Amino acid sequence: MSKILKYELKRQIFNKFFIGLLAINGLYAWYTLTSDIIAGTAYTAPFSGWSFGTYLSTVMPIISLTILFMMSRYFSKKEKQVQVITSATPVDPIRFMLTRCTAITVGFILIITVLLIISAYFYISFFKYYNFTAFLLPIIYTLIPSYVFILGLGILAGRVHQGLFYVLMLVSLALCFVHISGAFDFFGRGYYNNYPITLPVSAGGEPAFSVSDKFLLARLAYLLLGLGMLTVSIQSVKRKARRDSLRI
Amino acid sequence: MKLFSLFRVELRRMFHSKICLSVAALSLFTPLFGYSLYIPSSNVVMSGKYLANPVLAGTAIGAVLFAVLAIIEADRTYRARINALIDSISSPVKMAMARILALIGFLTLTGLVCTIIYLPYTIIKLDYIFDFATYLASFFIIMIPTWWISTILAAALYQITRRIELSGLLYAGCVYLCYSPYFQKSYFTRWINPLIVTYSDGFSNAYTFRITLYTRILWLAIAGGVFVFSLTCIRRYQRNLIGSFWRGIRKVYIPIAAAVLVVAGALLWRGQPFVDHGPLEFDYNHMNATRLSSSSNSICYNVSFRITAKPISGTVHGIAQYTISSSNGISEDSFWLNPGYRILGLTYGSKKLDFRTLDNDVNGERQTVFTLPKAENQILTVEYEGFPALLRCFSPTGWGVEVSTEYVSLNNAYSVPCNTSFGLPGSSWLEITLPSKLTPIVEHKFVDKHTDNKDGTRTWKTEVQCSQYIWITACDYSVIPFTVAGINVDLVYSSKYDKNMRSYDIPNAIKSVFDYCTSHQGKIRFSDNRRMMLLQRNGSGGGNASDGWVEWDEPIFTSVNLSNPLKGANAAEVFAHEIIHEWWGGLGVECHGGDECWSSEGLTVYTTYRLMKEKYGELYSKQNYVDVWQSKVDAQNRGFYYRHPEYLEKLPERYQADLKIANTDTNLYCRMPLMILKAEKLVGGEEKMDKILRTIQENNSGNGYAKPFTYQDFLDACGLTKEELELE
Repeated sequence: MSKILKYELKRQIFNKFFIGLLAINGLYAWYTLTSDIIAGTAYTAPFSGWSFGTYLSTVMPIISLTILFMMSRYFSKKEKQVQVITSATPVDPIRFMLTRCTAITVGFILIITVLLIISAYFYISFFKYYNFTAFLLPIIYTLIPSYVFILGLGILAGRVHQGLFYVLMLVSLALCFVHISGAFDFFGRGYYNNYPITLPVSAGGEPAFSVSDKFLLARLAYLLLGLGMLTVSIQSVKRKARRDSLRI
Repeated sequence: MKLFSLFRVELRRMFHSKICLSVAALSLFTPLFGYSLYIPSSNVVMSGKYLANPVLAGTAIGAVLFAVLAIIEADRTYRARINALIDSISSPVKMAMARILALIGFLTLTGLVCTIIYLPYTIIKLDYIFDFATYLASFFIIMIPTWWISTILAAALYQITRRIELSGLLYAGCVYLCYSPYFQKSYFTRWINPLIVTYSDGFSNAYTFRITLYTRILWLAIAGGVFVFSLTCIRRYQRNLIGSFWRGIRKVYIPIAAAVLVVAGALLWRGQPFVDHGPLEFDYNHMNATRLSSSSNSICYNVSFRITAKPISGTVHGIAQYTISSSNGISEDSFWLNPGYRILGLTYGSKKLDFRTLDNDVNGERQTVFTLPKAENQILTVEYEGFPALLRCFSPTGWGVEVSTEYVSLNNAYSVPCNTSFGLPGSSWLEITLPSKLTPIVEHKFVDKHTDNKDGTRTWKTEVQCSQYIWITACDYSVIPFTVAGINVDLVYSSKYDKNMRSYDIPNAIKSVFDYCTSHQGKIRFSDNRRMMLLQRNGSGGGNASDGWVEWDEPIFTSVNLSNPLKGANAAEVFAHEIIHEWWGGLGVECHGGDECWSSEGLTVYTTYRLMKEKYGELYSKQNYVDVWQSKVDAQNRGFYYRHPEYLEKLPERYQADLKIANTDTNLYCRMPLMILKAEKLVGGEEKMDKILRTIQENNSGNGYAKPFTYQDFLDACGLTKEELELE
């Protein structure tokens, strides 16, 4: 499987489109930091947990777009033609699917790493700020549930119809412009912008980074939903593999 | 096949293609969004509501639709797997050229149909305001060229990536940039959504169309350059992007043409004449430092200005002549003029002088430095010409500059050289040549004398008090004279507003504000006891006032504004606010900018609140005034950079400017009124406060900047200390 993983990584990451998309993500991240985050979120410092959460939730739609773009390759017409051959190999289709998920996850981690490095450079160069441990919670709350949900939804949508990817891409793009507030805000931008205003300020004049239980539950729900969709996809692959083997 | 034959075939095919016809049909509906959903321009003026916004909606949404069509059309041969066949018939470069030309032709025809479809409805809605030239310009300068740009750019991106989703993503990125706050404030960065703050019903849209046409040409050059470059990337011989590119650049004229177009676009951007290169915020220090300053040993006895407005080109030609005695040959003299103007000549007597124009744009002015040789009573002549450039800090609102057949507005350094280092005498002569139908107002006074030049222009001559700034405005004006509280008032407005002014009985509404202020805050005195002028001007929202005159921007008197019951006091607020400035502006209360709170705005806003309280009741005034001030002050207090100003300097100039402007506005319009409200409570209520304000008015009215009324004077009049008025 490691050979397949290497091949998938080479296919997904070592190509000009991924590098191009990585560059777009980087540029967008820098633009977000210097145009939006620099002003601070909800009257807090640009280097507060709230502002960093806003940064992540602002770049997340573009990251999702990139992830969907990567996934769309696995469900393209060409790929379906090749599937006739790959399904004839002795590779376990579930493990094959999970390997591909791993390749996409590696791509995601790579993008996130670049974006975190950019943000670190921004905070150091503009504010001489080094306390990056304060950003750990926003990273966990913002990135993981959204990513797992997008991954699950993408794989499920791809199995249903390839055209759904384009719908998801459009939705993701639209979320760059639409600001939803409340705990169930998928990327969390509206929440990070509005919730701190309702909190009491601490001695430093700013509310400490502490999300509500409702928001935590919503993030957990997105995470579980994503895992659930992945499980459904695995089950469907399992059923298909069984059907194919019965046919043979 | 020849290019023209291919173009003809492609165009005919498009007229038979279901997808092309569907996109064309959809794009015909796009202006409908501008009537209610997509409102990028001011909806208060009638032509904004029924023309600018529908056209801008059609422009942006239609541009996206045609971009999608361009990508789909470019992908068509690959999708149908006939690319090899097509490539064997004709050159792929020629095919791409024919396809884009056909698309441009197709969308131009669609735009033409769109222009015809919306014409009857627009005529009905705009009624007597309708202007056919403005209507046509809206479609042929704004909408159709933007569709061209969008289509060319999308086709280029596809040809470079040859993938639908990737080119779509890149295109979406380009669109996003136009809507992002970073680019939104500039005329030149917005390729898909031209920046049009407002149309005008009563004045002119010439500046708007000039700048939009310029940006369309600029972006057409850039998009064209990218498209021509993309021709080198068209895949051939089953090669990838790089292989095809190496093959493509063998035709050297293609990359050269691409480079020429992109460079042309870049040069147009760099050399644009519309906006100066000054700072992003208004420099109050420059304004205060140069007000009536004179540093030279030269003495000026007499001044005359001759200005010619050239409405076709939108330029100004001026000659300023100063009779000067220069007792010292080594003193360096200077004057400031708009950065858009080029100095054609500088002579002293018969001698040509060397001069340097510095790169120090500020507040719409640029300094020119020269040395006067020693001489008695010689005439210093400054001849200048050019296109007036807007202040960068006010450029999105198109503040106060226009030279067109319908309207001329030239203030400060836009009209004559100002801030001269040599002092000026008490008065001077001004001659201005204008289109015949325009009536000039100079320094907020009508001009009586004129001569007809028999060439469609008239030259007006008047004596002006020679301050360092001369304000000139000209339009087809109507005047309603009336008297209120013993003051003779001229209400002056564009003749296109005749119907509105009479049907909404504006003079009576004005009288009510005068009556309130006179009874509560005393009678005002002007410095020269003249008739007061209330003037409507071209602009996007606010107003301005000083000793004996008030200027209101056009939207305040539009039907949409005056007939909207929800806007009630808000529309009246600006209206009344500017009149009330007559009571407090004349005290010489200086606006310092920065973090200073004390200016005439505080007292004016407070008085406006009191007027609205009397008119609409306590609850209304609390919700719309006191609560709004309080929430803005609270937000300011909570703001990170307000609490930590040490971080402010670390920000780029644009953000520093934005934050400083926001802080100044909060200080002037919210913090100070709250402080005065606090003073009202501390002195014992409204009646006692009115008595104090009346005393202030009686003792200080008409003093002007010579003896300004300071914050300490106000505190003394109230018997309070600074600490007592501090907000918690």
